[in-house]
Amino acid sequence: MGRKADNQQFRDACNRLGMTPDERAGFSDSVHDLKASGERGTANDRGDFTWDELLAHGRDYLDLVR
Amino acid sequence: MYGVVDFRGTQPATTGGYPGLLALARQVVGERLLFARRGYPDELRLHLGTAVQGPGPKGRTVARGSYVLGTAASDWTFKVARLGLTLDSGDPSARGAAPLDEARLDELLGSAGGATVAGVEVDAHPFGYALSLAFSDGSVFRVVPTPEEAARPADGPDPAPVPDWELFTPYGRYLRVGPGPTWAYLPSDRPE
Repeated sequence: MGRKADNQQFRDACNRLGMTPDERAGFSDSVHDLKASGERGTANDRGDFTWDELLAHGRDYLDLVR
Repeated sequence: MYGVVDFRGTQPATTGGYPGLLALARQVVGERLLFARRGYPDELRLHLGTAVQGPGPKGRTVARGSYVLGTAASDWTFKVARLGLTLDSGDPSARGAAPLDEARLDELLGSAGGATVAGVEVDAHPFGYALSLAFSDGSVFRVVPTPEEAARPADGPDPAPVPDWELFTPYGRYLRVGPGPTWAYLPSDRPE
């Protein structure tokens, strides 16, 4: 996917989970930190996350912040 | 006559009101750049103002700025005066630049903080509004909108259009600019 499509997918996943914009921004930082620490996704060889992986990580993140 | 720009006000999505957009963007003048860091997916964010600790993965904490400027999927350039270099998100061969790997980019971004925002400009661009931040040490950050990509099926019921850039503030509001020549100043603490 292109950069905008990747960003669109991420925002779609955040909206599906009912995140606020603040939560989406924090989740973006958190997922990048996760990826940088070695926990990579399976969407491609860059280690990006699939739709289902984003939703799972998003639910974990919301459990932390709410 | 006197005027006031209320950072706790709101502005629904509009294609006009450029003075209001500029006034709201300029609220970061005087704020210190804490650091720059990429968010997911590969979005450069500038963290300004006061450092705030928030929850991160695996029990860690993640530092954020009280102001966060996000570049979404737009192109950006960052002249970091203190480091004597310019970083950018585009094709290096088209910009007279050498390739840079992500690890080195993250290292350089992490050491780009320290200066304060001396000036902000928002200017019309063929694809929307471009934003420039000038810093007290001579550094300059610029974000430039890119054209829309081909439409793709949404994974959710209501696809959220990707803005060109966003500025999160400590007032429970965020400035959302784009796609195209539109902007809004909205609550950031409730789902949209």
